[in-house]
Amino acid sequence: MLADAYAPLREIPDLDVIDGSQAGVFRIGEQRARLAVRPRTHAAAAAALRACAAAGLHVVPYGGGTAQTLGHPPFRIDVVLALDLLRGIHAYDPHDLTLSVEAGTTLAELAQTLARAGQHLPLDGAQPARATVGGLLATGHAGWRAGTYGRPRDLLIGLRTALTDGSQALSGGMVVKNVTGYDLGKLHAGALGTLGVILRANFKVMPLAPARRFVAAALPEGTRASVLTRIDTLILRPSAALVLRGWEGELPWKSGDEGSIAVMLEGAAGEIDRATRDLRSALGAAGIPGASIFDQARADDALAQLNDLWGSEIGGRSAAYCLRDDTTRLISWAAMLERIAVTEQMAVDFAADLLDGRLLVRLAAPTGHALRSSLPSCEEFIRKEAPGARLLHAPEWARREFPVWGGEPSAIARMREIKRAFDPAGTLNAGRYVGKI
Amino acid sequence: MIEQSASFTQRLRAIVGDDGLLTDPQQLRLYMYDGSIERALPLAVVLPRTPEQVAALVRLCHAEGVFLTPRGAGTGLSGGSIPLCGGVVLSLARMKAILSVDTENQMATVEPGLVNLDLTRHVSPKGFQYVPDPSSQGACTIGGNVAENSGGPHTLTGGVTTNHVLELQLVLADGTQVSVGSQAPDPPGPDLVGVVCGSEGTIAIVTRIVCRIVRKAECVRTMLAAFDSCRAASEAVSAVIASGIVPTAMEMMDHPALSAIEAFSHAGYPVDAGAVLLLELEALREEVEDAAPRVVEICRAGGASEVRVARNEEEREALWKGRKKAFGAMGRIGPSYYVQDGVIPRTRLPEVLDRVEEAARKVGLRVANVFHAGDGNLHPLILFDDHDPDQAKRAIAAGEEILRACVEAGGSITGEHGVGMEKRDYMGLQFSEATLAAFTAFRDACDPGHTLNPYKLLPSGLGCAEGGKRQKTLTQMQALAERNAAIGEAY
Repeated sequence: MLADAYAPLREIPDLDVIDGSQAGVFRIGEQRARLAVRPRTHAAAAAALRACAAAGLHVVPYGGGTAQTLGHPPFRIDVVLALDLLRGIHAYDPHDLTLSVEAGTTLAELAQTLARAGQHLPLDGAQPARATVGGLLATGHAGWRAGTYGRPRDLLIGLRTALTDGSQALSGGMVVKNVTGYDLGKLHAGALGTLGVILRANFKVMPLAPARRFVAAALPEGTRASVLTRIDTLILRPSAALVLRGWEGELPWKSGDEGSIAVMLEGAAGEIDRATRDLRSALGAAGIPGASIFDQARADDALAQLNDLWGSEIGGRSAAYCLRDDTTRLISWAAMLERIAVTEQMAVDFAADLLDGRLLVRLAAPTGHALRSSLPSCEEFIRKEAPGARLLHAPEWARREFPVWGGEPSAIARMREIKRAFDPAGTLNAGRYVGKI
Repeated sequence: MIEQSASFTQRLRAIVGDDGLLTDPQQLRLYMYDGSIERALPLAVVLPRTPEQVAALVRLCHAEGVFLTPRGAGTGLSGGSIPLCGGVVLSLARMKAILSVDTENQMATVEPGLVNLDLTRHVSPKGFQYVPDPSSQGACTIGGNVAENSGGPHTLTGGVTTNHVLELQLVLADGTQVSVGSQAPDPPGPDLVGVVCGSEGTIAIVTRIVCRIVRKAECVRTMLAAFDSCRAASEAVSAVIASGIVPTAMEMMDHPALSAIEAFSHAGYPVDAGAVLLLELEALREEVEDAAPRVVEICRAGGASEVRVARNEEEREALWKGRKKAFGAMGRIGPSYYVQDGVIPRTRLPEVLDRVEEAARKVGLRVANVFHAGDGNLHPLILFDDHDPDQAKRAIAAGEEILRACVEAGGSITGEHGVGMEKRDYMGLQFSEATLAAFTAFRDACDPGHTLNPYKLLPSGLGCAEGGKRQKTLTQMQALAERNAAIGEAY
């Protein structure tokens, strides 16, 4: 029966249909796709979506595949809609500080284009060589500089999406200020492709800071609390500031008894020099003796390594959460999780965002089997202390059993109505999102 | 409706009390207006004091099928708070408290009727500010700013309202109270804060706002540059951006605007100039000291006859004074004005300004320009007599031509004033049928009966369901000018 349902897809122009073992390269958690379609045009993407909706097929939109473990496992995977052939810069005039880019473009490719004009889009993703613009938007992923530069929704100025009725809807445009119509682009940013498939996105971009400096320092015993209070009073607001612990072999600086601190500074050269003196003085006052300094491209690389932590999995035996609150509480939660993990014989790595109130915690057990028995006690602690915590990645059993997105928001009924309005047949990523929308 | 109104008003009174209900025609007339030229008389005005009262009012109107139009300070420029379908105006003016300020986490919780500037004044002694600063900030409310997703001169780097709202308490169209967004980052679910901002009161009524406050910059430098023409000033704007400097504000005023502003505000502007740019840099001292001389040099290289840098806060305020009161100053050169709000990519400024001038000339009217050049957000003020239907008709024609020019240049029909009643029938210039259908589907999902602020934002024929029928309505200024004349006679 499914074979018949797929037949209309093969009639759509500019749509590559891949099945059999070739489709298996598209992985959604522990599952592999049986059939994937790769549109070469927006029209083909919209037509494919319409055909799937009409045939009752469940569709999983697919960018670079770096965040397909986010959310609950989908109810069904009939068709993977891969956006990788929709790539490239659609429009870019550096003097306008705006850019329009196809959804399947990788973050690395985008960054290179912008850097050639001395500009950037400060939205950081893990694995930028694979992660795509569409995926970053759909997941709403906010990297470590989000507290300063904003999230994908803040820099998004226009969006083209394919809807399940086969139409293409626009919102916003190519201007930096725009209140014409509902800002439906914001609705799609972070909706995990449950309302429509992102085809093209427009962003405001900005000049790359002439000076970029990354400062990292090991935290000796008894210094962490002291350094936290001093970060708030720095003259120059850093673009990223974190306290970390663990991540052995994944970061290019040393860690102390209480982990390490990492700070990214961006600005004019003179400004960065003063900010560095100020930061050194704050670290010194907190009893931190020395720091590693990485400048320009090396600073960018260090920041990229930090951003890769968001996607850092240890094959089948780790789970990562994002907890949200003020910094002091985040650090206290991290310490409590460390204690629970010792009892459960798990390893804990964490990164606390000092500017944005987020704690990334990765819990790893010696084996996948061990994780199954150890993780529930950590999950219980997390749900008790931080009910809104988000499970970022974990084996499928955990994503099926645990409340991945935290508690249901008070507006969940309205969210369901919006889902019904845009995707009445439940074609898109059904079951993965908040409230298993 | 009128026959039913006695018992209905009793029920309104039961919710808000005697002093929270206005039904006297003399009082109602004050709520016919906003900052646009639109007019319509409500059946009643309610002034709730609590979110619970708002919810009860919405439930009542929802149950009775009575249209409800939320209202902040009534400073909107697109007719967003005009009760075109009659019904009840819900004024948030009495819900104006600052409920809490948390400087450590850089946020404030406020009620929707709080005046924008009052928040900045409140947090200023602690070294903080609220960034969105529409020119009407001394009167407009933060709830109204959320509805319109307001901007202002300082949003070039700082962003607009949506970038500064963390959490909203809402009353939905059926009277349900919900909270959307979060004080902590990345709450789960679709970004309802993002889509409520700019929804012009058509999908929910905001009863509480948690907004971001930010530290004031260490160093601010404000300067004025005078040019022979708008084209030269526009090219200077592009040259500044091309140099890698993004000022926090880049405002332009053309010669007719300068004459009116100077006569009104005595701000000391060079009235002989063809155009003036007002630029502001905010950052750490080193960055400002590095950038300011470069901006001066770029302006001079671009033909600026004069560049004046404010030496102190007093001079800075003087430079801003004229700009902030620019719209009010237009009364010096014309009985009324029709302001457009199109946005274009900033590199297209010179050609589109030529088309603005041409559009006004073609219909025999004058135009003055005061706008956010850095954002490409035009504010052409077409000067006309609002009691002369023929002039109004010509102003409409020029306005439409300007909006077409903006869309053809890759821009948008409104940057910050909203669609409201005024521009809803121009939505088709910018968006396809499919996109308008998506907007309507969203509106229907949130407010199936279109109880909240009907006849706004969506094109007529899409926007207002009454008695099960879609109605075409009169919307544009020619009809309104005729109606104004009738209203003038009636009152």
